[in-house]
Amino acid sequence: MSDLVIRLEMTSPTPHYEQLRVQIAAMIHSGALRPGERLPTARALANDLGIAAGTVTQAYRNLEAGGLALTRRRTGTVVRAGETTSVDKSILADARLLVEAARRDGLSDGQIRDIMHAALLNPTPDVGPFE
Amino acid sequence: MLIALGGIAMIVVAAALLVRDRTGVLAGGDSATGVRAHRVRGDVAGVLCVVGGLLVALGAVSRFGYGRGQLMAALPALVGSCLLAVFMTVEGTWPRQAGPVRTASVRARRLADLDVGFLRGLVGLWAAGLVVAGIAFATVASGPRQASRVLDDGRELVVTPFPGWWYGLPVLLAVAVLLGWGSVVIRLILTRPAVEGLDDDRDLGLRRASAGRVLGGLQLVLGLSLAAMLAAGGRGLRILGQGEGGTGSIAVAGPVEPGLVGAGGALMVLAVVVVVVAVVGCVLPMALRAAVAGAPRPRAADAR
Repeated sequence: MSDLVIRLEMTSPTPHYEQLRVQIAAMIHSGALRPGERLPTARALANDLGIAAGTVTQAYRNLEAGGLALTRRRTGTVVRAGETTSVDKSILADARLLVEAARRDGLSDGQIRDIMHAALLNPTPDVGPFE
Repeated sequence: MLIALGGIAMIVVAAALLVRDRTGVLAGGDSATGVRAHRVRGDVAGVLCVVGGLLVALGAVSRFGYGRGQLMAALPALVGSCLLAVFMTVEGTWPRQAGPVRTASVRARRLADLDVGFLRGLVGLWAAGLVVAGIAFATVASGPRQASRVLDDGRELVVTPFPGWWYGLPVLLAVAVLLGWGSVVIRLILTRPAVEGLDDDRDLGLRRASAGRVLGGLQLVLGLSLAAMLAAGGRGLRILGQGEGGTGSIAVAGPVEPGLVGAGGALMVLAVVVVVVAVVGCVLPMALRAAVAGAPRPRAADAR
């Protein structure tokens, strides 16, 4: 159950809604939250975290924009089913191996994130047919 | 007047207790102590509020009279409203997380997780019974507060008080208000902040206990209201069936009508049954919950 717990750092420079979005997105990609599963109402999650409901709503909206969630009037916000929510298992496995290796080398989670961000800054190479 | 003032003072003290609780202790403190403190304050405030509400009602009755029975008919609803007001305040004043690092589960809570189907059924049953009984008695009544039977010789037996629309209307209004208010409190129980330091199952256990107390109290109030209405109606029919009654201040006697006597007696027996079921329905779930306290049960979603 601990894999479904969100941790919010109030003093972090990262906006609260972005912290929420990143962690929920990670839960969806890892399969901890399955397609069709309901997320808590914005008010309930906001009450639990002691933050404004609008912050959670913003996070949900961003998840929706990223194709990871869907808000319906009657059922609330649910994890979206479809290709966009399922990361290729081999890529996920590679990412886990990378994190394990980095931790073995003594890097902190923050440093691992910095490295990933640095990698993401590289221009995407053209993906063509295998040569 | 002094009685009513005393009641108001008790309600103010209860409110002060709950407001103090709002600024209370959970943040960074021991969650078990915080939960216990909140519960104790909630219970004390609940008792103060209900007793205070009764005193205010008593003061109003002694000052303004019985309002020809309408105030008495609305008394259960007043007590129920006091109860729901306390539950609402207790649920709305659970301390929220306030530290620099906060955690929460992203598991959605559903009404089914509260596991209160039995009590919800009783609430629905008593409410439906009140609607049916209210309409039936208002139809049978020959006036707002009376029922009558015309004898073969043209004389009329009259019995009062009888739960015609004079009593039925405020009771039905009270049912609507209590049901609406009760659903708001249940919703509040689902969305109130999770208690810091408790895992999902223990937090859900607290919510189940709260919902059980709210619905238990609500069904008791509705059940007692229904029993009072059935008993009053049954008594009236029985008196008419026995050939007793009167026209104004003149007592009239007539032949016994076994059908009316039987119907009246059956309604009175039904009233006793409703009281027993309502009291058992209030006490039994609490006792069962106390017996299995600490044993986590699966969520409705997990059970499927």
